[in-house]
Amino acid sequence: MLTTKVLYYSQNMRRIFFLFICFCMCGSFVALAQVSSVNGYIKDAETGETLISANIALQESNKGTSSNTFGYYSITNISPGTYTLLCSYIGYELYREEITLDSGENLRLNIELQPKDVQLEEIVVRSRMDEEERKNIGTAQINVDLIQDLPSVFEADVFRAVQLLPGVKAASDFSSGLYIRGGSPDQTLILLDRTTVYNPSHFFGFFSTFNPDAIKNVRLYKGGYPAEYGGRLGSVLTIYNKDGNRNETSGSVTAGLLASRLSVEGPYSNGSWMLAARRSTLEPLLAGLRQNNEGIPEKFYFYDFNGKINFEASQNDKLSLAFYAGKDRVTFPFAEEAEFNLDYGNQTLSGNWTHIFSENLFANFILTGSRYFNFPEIELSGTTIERENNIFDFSAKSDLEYSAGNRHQISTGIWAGVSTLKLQDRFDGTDTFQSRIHNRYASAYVQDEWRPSNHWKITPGARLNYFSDGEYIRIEPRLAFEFIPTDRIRLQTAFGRYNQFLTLITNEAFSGFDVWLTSAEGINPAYGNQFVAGLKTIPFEDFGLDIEVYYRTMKDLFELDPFLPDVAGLAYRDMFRIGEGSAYGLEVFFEKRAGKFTGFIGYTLGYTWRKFPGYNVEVGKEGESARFYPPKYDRRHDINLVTSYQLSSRWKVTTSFSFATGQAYTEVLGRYATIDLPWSNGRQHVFTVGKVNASRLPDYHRFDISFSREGRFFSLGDSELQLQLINVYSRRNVWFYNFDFEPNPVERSEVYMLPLLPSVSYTINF
Amino acid sequence: MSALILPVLISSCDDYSQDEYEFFYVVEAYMIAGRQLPHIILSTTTPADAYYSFEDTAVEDAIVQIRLLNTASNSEVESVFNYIMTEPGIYNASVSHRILPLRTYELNITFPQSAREITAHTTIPDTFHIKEGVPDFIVYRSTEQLEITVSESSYPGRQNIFVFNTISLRPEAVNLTPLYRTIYEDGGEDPDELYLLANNDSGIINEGNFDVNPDGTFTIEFPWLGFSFYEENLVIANTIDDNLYDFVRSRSVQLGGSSLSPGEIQNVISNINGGVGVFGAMASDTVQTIVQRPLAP
Repeated sequence: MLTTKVLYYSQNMRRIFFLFICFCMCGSFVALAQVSSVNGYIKDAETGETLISANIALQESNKGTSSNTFGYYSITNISPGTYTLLCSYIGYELYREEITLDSGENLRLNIELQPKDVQLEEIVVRSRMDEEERKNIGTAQINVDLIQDLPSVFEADVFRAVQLLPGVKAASDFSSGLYIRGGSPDQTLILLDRTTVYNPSHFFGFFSTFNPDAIKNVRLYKGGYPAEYGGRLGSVLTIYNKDGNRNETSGSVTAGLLASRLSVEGPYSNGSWMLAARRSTLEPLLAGLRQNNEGIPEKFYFYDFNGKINFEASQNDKLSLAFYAGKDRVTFPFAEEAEFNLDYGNQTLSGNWTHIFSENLFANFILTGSRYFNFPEIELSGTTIERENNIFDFSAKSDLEYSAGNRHQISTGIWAGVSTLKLQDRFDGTDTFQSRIHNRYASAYVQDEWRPSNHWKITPGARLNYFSDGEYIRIEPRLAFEFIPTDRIRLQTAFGRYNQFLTLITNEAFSGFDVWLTSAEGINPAYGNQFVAGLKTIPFEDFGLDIEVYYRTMKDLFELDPFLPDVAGLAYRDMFRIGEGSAYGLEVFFEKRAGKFTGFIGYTLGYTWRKFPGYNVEVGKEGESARFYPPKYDRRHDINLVTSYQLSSRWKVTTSFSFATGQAYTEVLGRYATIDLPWSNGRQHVFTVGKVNASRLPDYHRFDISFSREGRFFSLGDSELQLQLINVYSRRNVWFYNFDFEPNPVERSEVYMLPLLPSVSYTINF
Repeated sequence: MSALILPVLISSCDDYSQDEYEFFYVVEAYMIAGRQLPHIILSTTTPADAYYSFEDTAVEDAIVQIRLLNTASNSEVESVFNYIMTEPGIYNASVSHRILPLRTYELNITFPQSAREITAHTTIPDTFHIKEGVPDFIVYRSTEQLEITVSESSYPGRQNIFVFNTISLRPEAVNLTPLYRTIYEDGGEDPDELYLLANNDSGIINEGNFDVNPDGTFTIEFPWLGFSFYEENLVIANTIDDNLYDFVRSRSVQLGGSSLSPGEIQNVISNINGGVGVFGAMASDTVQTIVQRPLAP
């Protein structure tokens, strides 16, 4: 019976995929003989690196577009004639070229943009398509240079930069986890070169795994994200590594307090390559501390490698192979007969082929592999407690972009794969829990970016998901509208349905033991709707003002029951609690994009609610229905101010200031003790509380500053010295309250976040 | 647009204000299969910022009964056992009754001057025993670990849930095993710490952790971690009821340690109507062994 059902579904899936492909391919037979087109790649003139979301327009025709994630652009259905082609990208000189197109001509024009040395007064193409992709609803582009410039705790970090955007919250100074629009970190899909990364953290969540030297582009889809993506209830973060310098061999070396980095890139006969390595360098410090202190780990390090090689097989075909490998290791003998060991990390591998079928049809095919593992082990008095946790995910993806006539840009694709989640617990040499979840998953999407007039853009789309464990098939409609009354105002709204088949077991204080579990028979996938509306304006030249409101629902949220001390012998469905939630808020983003002084201020007003059965009920009323509560990361107001000022040709100062309403916590109201528990000689102290998380910690604020000086390192290359101060005025921000029963009455003490921290790094570019 | 939306958003904020402290009666009792009715401890909560002492919170004026419910209906009362207060807050059964396994008992507490009523129910776990053959001596951290074989038993509707504990019969500092000696020394060699370490428990362990032998029993290799002292130790296996299970598991995460965020504290699951605490039940069996120091290398 089950086999028949599977067969039925898989046949249906094949039919649907086939229809998608036919739908797309048929369009290419539509004859458009009398019109012309221009297409090609947009690259950095110095490095040959393709540029994502560069703007390109034909001045006389009001036609334009932006480059896709491969740096490819295509403008079709152009009447024959002579045009001025303009191409711009922030930080680059404006590109201008006169082109003449004959009837039916398909002009391949690869464009190389010249970087500017210093961002003085920017000249930016202001076509109707200007910054289209960057400014889609719910989307934020993170400037990679800003990631390096921002003051950061010991090490430049992508996620710390993302946390400064409106709508994105940090759980604490110690966590790089992304809490986006009321979603927990597992509600954000993180893709590195289109490959899923399951635990992108080093040092138990303090840093993200992404080496800033290797990164080319970071884009965050905060909500209402397009049909191209799926599998998460909330948002998508895409990170693309550099392809490598196509013109000359170059690189950089950075020495920092926490870690040092080396990156090298260069060309070869048919393409380019890039390799970046990073390793923590805490060993000398730890060795010194161990001389006079106890409780210092014996080993505590991380490393990661990023690499990519590109091969241009022909004018229409490009191949690339990318990998990432990173690991954290800690060995900590903390008492006699007591030692803690942990290895955890990620590995990804992807092989990519892009092919230009025609001026109308661009295709990308990719094979991906991703592994996440953690192996914690604790040995106490000869008793060993071990866990082996592995996730393997292999997938194949295909995406097609098709320009159908003047008004339609159709995207479609499929993504199918297998994932295996293996979890094994061992106590004192005996297996106590084993789980092997093997799933097949598949999805297909189609999306039409339809421009019925110069003032309207309508983007309907749909995504179909299949998940084998539980035989779930879910359809996700997506719809976005954009109205552009003037060149400087865009009104946008979007709706989408989203499903999530995975849940993350983690703790915001420590992410080294993360375990992912999946929906299954009896555990429905979580689902939710998102409504987003926004206003994007350019109030003055070089300024941008974005306002968005959002409302999200979350149903069938499944997460490991936090009160389960032991899951051995339990049915899979009994391991979970199933809840619901919602989030809504307002975000304002005001930025100055160009000039000697750049920066932004972001404000978020947010509300987040969760409800789980039996949780947050009144004392003695366990049988009654639960109440909604705000999770700890619910924050009413968030303000982030980031500025960057070019003091001179050598000196630059970058600052960031954050203010946030205090996080939610539960105030302890009463206490009692049980005195007679048979397996204890001590009293069992118990708190009574009212509503969960009904109180607020003190407001959070912090000011960081970074000075950087550019110079020369002898004759070897340019150099940059960064001097940073984190938490300049040493605000004692409270992470949480600790309650101690030993004193009588109960004492509450503050656990603080980061104090004033200086940091220094030195980079040599060669 | 934002001018319109902002007031809507702000006004949509639900009233989720902090509650005030509320007073509750606290019940504590542990029904052990096959043994006499336990004493029942009755006290009250105090505000968290007030000085706490059991003596000050002991409740003296309660009418306490334990009722054995009818097997068929689990609601009709088959027998009633009245309690009398013997010390402030401590109530003892006025009659003899050996607690019956797999039967449901009801706790009923009322007060002469009020309509307040506290009730709770528990189903007693099935009895079991530790099979003979437990060695008289074991050498700490030798290859021969203590093995105990537990007879088959059951609990209605779920697997058995165990808590193992060891009670040292010679809880002296010189007898501490190495890890616990470190804990004792790090804690300033407080004599109270020795008393606490003398009763060392495993926490909750599901029966699903163990492989069942062909005869329905299962054998446990008792971990060395369980012994905090050398010399004579009692090794006790307990199976617990739902009330104890809920109480222990929810209390253990009140101060963190699970996937809950730090500072997100929830009430302990009491399963007591009209009060808090625990009206628990368990079945137990005990063996004794001597943990010898390892030979010097």
